[in-house]
Amino acid sequence: MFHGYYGSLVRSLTVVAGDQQTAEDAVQEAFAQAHLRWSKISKYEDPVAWVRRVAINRLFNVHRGRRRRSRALSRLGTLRGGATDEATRVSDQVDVVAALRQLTQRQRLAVALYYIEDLAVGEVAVALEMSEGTVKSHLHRAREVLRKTIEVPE
Amino acid sequence: MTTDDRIRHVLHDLAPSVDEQEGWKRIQARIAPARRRRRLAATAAVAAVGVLFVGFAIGARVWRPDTSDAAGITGSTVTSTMPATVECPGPGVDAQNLAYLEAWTSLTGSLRTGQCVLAGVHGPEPEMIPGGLGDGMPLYPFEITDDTVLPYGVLATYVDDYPIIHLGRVADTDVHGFLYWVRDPAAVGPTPDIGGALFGPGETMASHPGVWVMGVEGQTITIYTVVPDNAAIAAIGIDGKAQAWQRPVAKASVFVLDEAMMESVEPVITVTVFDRTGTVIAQYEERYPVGPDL
Repeated sequence: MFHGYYGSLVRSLTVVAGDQQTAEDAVQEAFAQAHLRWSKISKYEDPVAWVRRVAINRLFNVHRGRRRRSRALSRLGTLRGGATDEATRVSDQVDVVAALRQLTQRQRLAVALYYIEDLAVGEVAVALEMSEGTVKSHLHRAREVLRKTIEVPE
Repeated sequence: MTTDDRIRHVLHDLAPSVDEQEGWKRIQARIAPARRRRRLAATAAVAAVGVLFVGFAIGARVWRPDTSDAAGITGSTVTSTMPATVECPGPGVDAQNLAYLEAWTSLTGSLRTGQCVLAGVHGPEPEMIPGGLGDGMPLYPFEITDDTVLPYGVLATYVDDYPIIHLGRVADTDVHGFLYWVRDPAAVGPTPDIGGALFGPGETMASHPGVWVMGVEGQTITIYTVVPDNAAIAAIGIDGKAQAWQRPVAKASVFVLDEAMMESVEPVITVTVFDRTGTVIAQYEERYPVGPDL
């Protein structure tokens, strides 16, 4: 389970948190807790969903303050630092970060789980404890915002 | 390329690379203290059973949950027998807790809709702080707000019929929260949380009023004390030297100490409890269990 999901979950939550260390902490704690009570969790229908849920909760716990979130998102633009020879790509990334900043945290989570973890809408709904309709609404909103940023031709 | 494909491509490009090997090492590092803590708790639990047995045998006073505000728990009614349901209070903090709990029911599978989660409050306000108790180490009642997200692990420790959950936070430490439930008769089970270690269902322990040295993690030691109803201040000392004091929350004090304070090989931890007038009403001692794993 670790090798199958750790990396993608960290990547997804990094996009949400804007801070890879925070995302790693959350995911590592989730896996650690799963390990400690694996005898029970292994009997769950979807243990991965449990881990994902714990990681998301941890992330929420450390990302309550709006200002703090804003600062963290700003840092996202420097995640791939040192890419001076990739100025265009970095510039695009900064734009995307700015676009993501327009979304709520739950909207970003929906985006990350759907586009980075490649979860189905139903799985995103379970992970975020919301209806599929709400997830679709979040994704629609995100597409509207991101489309303008990345200038996708219709 | 569709819009979705393009967004997916851009976001994948944005997401960082991840060092799984390093991640695995860190997870193992998080697990190790928890294992040590479990072994410690198991040892303490065995001792607790013996102490509890002796206590009842000599007719010690049975401590029963009291739901009055002064006793440190706000809200619901807890009867002398295990209630089938909990009478939840009206609007307010507890109502938020209830709504919150219900929202999580589907995830845990072990919670019953209608159970109340109650926030602990401080005991009686002291009229005076006795001198020479060391530094203040505030224990804050857990704040439930609209933004509160209860750690999943806390809910994982629920046992179906235990009606009260209390959460608190020790100031300026890594011990951000703790939990215990009250059940009838005369038992309290504290569960350290957050710091990477948490006891799973069935792994918690019952106690009577007294000191519990738990939560040994690295060089930090968490010491729980269940105090009498009218406790206004709890003060902790090591080998007779005052270290810190605090106002208990919901009949419990939680001190977080640096192991470096334990200067002797088997230091004696003493928790002295005062009522609001500053009169000593209880004193508990526990020898810090130094074992090969610590």
